[in-house]
Amino acid sequence: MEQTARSQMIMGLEEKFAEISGDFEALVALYRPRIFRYALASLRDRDAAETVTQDCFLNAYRSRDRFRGECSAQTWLMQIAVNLVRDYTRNRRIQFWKRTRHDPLEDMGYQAADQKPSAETRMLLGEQVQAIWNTAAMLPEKQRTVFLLRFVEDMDLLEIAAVTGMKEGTVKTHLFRSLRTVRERIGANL
Amino acid sequence: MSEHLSSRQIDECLLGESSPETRHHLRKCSACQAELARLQDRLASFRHTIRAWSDQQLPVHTRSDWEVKPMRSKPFSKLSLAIVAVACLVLALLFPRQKSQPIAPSPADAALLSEIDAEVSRTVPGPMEPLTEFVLSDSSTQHAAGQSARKEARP
Repeated sequence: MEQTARSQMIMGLEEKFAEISGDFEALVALYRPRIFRYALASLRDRDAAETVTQDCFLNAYRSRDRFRGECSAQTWLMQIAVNLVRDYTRNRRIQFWKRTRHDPLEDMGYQAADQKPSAETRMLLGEQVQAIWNTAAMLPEKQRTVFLLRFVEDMDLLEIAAVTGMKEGTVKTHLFRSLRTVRERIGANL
Repeated sequence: MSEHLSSRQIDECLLGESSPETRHHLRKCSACQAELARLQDRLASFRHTIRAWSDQQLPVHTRSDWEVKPMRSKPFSKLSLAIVAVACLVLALLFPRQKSQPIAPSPADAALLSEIDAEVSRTVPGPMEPLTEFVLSDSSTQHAAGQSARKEARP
């Protein structure tokens, strides 16, 4: 029931957005956490992620007249975010790799899918999550993008294709390659 | 199909792209089920960890902070300013400003200049010069006549 109400609210917001209504702030409130999360997982820097998030909504606001409603507002915003993250990492490659040397997840407790893991399981899980995280950082740009969109944002292949502008087959190829790399690098742990 | 699923087939399951044969094998093979569940669990933990970290890092949103953000200017960085300064210095060294030195005129120029000077210094144009004698003699006669007339008028 609650899920249905939420879906209806999202659809309503997107319709409003398509009509270029003044309710842009509601759209920001709805999608900001997701855009920020993708930017943070990609850039691993809070300030950079915040800048990308702000730029994303700023660009969306400025070009809202050109939004035709051919895709969902979420897809459109993620397209902008993916492009901004890509530009950011290309323009600031040196700084980006400097930042990735420091692992921000080290300060973060690991969140188990299983709600109450034992201490031993928790420690093992931490190592495995850390291994996936480290491997994701070393993936080529396109593989990292689709990997994060699939396994952090939980997007399906068609959504990823729409967001990245790749063909579905290309997305699938990048995903298989990224998964294979993750397996190879962390095989013992995984 | 071999005894167990290949890595590729497991990955296909992870992406929701498994074939009917793979799904059939999974239903029967507990080892492959366990392998797939383990991978799914690790990736889910990865997702939960990143999401929790992101929620923790998400800055408090103030209304319209995206809207009032000024256009980011691109000021010159210290490095670019330094490069420009060095470039100016190098150019200044390579092409020093030449001091103005007096240029010796060629003989033809000198002759022309002296001719122009002479022409300019004349009080009357050259063709009219012979007439000046008449003017001078006439004025001297008038001057003398004027003087004698003034002497006669004196008491």
